[in-house]
Amino acid sequence: MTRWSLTPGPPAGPADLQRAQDRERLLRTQLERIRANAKAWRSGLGAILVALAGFSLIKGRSDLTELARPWPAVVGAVLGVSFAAGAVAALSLLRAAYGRPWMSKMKDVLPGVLGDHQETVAAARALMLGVALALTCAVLLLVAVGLTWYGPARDEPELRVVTPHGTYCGTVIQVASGTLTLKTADGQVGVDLRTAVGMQPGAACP
Amino acid sequence: MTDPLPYLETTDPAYGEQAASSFAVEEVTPGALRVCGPCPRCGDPIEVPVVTRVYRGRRRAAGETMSVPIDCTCEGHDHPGRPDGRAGCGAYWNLTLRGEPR
Repeated sequence: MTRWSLTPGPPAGPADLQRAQDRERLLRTQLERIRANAKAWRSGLGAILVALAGFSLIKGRSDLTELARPWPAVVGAVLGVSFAAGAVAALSLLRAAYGRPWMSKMKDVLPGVLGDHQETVAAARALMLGVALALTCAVLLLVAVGLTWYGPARDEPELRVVTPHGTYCGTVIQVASGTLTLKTADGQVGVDLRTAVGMQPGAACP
Repeated sequence: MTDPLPYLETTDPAYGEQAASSFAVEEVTPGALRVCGPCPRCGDPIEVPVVTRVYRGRRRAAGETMSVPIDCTCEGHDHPGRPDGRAGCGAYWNLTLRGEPR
């Protein structure tokens, strides 16, 4: 805290009267202004987030299980943080626009214009936090959508088949008339299943 | 009981000196001061909030010395001739506030 003292100021003129009246008007209307601005920010940011959510549905991969590991978990974590940021942002913007939803202790409330100023300072903090977190939410949502669309695809399940003539490894294309067709690194190979002496699903092919 | 003074936008060097000696200043929260005392012209008690920041992009660094224009904002009397939307008796003056860390 600071110890304040008063001394006579410089001679006053009509401009000082104007400044004093402007200051009073600013002080008396600042709470009303920040409430209105917070409502505008809330609507604008809400529209941006709705547009982003709609944009993410336009095209691209939508199933996280199509992503290679560990990307589904990464996207899930990013989405989780994004939703948490969005939830806190929404609450902060509502706090700035409409005030606290709980009672205040009388000893903490200042009377008159100073009380309004106290509430304006709190509302401005909530507004700044809400805007920052809403933008964070939007950026993280974009990151999650981008990772889902352009992240590495999960490999097809592969099968290793051992026969007396050799070992074949690749993804299954079809099974017909006792013949298994595999897509291997050397191209498509047909394996007579009657000659197979061993099979290993989910193997990593060389 | 005397009639209230008529509304008159006026100043006098004595107003600042009188207010400097009779007004009290209190820091109610960081950056928010309450300056109060009797109006040097009409004698009605007034309370002037002085803040270092106000919402609307207008910011002033929290300096340790502030020259603050003050006008009477008394509500006790209906000063004759006061225009609509105005407050007080019309007197105004400047005060200098100096802050020192405790």
